Amino acid sequence: MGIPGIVPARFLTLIAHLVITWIIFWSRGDNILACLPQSYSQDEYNRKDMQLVVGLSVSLGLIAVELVGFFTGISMFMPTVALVSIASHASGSIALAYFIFDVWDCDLYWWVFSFCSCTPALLEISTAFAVIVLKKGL
Amino acid sequence: MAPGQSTVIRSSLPYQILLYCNGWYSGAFVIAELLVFIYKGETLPYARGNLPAEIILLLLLGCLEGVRLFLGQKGNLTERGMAVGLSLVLSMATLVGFLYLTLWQTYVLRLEVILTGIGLAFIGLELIFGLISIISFARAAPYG
Repeated sequence: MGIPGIVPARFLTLIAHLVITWIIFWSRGDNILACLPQSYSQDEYNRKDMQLVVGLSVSLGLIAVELVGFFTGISMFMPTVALVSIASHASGSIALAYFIFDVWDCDLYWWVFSFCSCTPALLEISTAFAVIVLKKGL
Repeated sequence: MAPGQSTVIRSSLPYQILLYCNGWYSGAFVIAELLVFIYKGETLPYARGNLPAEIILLLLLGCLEGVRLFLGQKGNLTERGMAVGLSLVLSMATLVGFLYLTLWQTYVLRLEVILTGIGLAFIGLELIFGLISIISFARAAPYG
């Protein structure tokens, strides 16, 4: 463990992102109204709602994958993975807090999703692949 | 080390990881809850005395968590089932504390439901791994 505090920092940013994603899951109504035109049909609302629910669920799943990789110790002591993870989850939590408070357009969620959920999860999965399948103990 | 004693390390690594992360989580939890109480005190009407009582309960819960996690970590590292058992007994008390914050306090925010849910998940997992480590300490040391 080279850098002190990097393990708890990564854990807490992951938990922060998990909590805020969960909160959006429970109170997403206003954000969906924000990305619909003035007059909309129930059908349009349901479609947007479904899109956001899928995005949030996948994001929760990716965070779960990362938590599993973290707790099993695959990437717990890898500074590079930890740095990417801390940076993206911290910025993701802040962006999603603005998402709720400023009632962002729900299509903007996908930017946060791709940069702050997918990037660290892909890195985590490729690290797990490298460690378990290719036996590269980094 | 006396001859005939085993040199196998019986401390549980998953249990230790859980306790370590739970320590950081509990600290963050108490800070977040204090901020939530500030928010609730500012925006919601409280019956006299309820808010201070709940804040004191939260602080006591934080202290209890500290003692529980300390006992669990030291008991696990020194392979003493007694300390781990005491930590599990204390975890029942913190379980009730978390349940109070989830179910019975004056106003429950969604944020609090999630935060206490994560705390309860930690307690549940630690209960399982704590019991496993107590059993392994008791089994492998017949004259402990």
